[in-house]
Amino acid sequence: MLQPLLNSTTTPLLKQVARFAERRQEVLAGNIANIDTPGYRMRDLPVAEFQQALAAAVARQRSRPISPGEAPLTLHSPGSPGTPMNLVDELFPDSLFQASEPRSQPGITFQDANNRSVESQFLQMTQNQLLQQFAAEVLRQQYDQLQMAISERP
Amino acid sequence: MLRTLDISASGLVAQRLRMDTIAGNIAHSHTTMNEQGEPSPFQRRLVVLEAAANRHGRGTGVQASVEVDTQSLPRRIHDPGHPHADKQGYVSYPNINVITEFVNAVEATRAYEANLSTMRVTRDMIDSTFRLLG
Repeated sequence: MLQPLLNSTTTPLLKQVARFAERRQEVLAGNIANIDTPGYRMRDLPVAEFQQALAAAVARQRSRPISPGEAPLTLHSPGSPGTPMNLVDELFPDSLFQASEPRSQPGITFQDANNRSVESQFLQMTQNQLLQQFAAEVLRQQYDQLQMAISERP
Repeated sequence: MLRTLDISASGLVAQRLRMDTIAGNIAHSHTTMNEQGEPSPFQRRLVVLEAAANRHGRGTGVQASVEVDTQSLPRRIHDPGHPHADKQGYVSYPNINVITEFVNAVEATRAYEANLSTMRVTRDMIDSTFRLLG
């Protein structure tokens, strides 16, 4: 019902960023859990591809801006065609959330065929955490602003 | 997100099992009699780690199981006065190298801490998601 309000500006993009970061955390946690498993290869999500999809989605949002004031508040059922949510979400296929073993592995392979690198894993985990907290915090502020506009109270 | 905590927990369990096994090996580094009261050296235990079977494309946990090392030969030391000495006067001691065990213990401790740190990061992320609810 409030699709134009909830899907305007960067909200759907931030949702995808948070979703990606949370899924990536799962993969990185699996890497740490298997840090001593012989033959295990470090996995990761396709970060570069996700960034490209994000850039494409930002460009699309910019080219046809939907501000909450312009779009009429109509009774859309969620997921009906033509809502902005679908236009953004289709840029993020499930393949962006599938972990794989990167072809070019930077680390050294140890004698047990594991290419562990605790430092790089924790570096990526920290960056990922900052990304997720950024997305969650901006989302929260956007919802707060909506709430403020609805209740007409600061 | 809660699955992520499960994965880190599987790492904690595996590393704790390694520490338990190492403690047992060190405690039995000079044990020359088995539970049945026969003169037989303690067999070294080792933990085998493997990646848990998982749906493709997701993070995966770790599975640990304890195996008995039956390959390594006992250390034979000439000590005819020992009650567990054989006819030639040799006592069979377990083939446990305490230094190896300690090195493994340090590794297990660090891996345990790495899993704990991961859990802390995951918890912070869950916290920030839940704050969206206001």
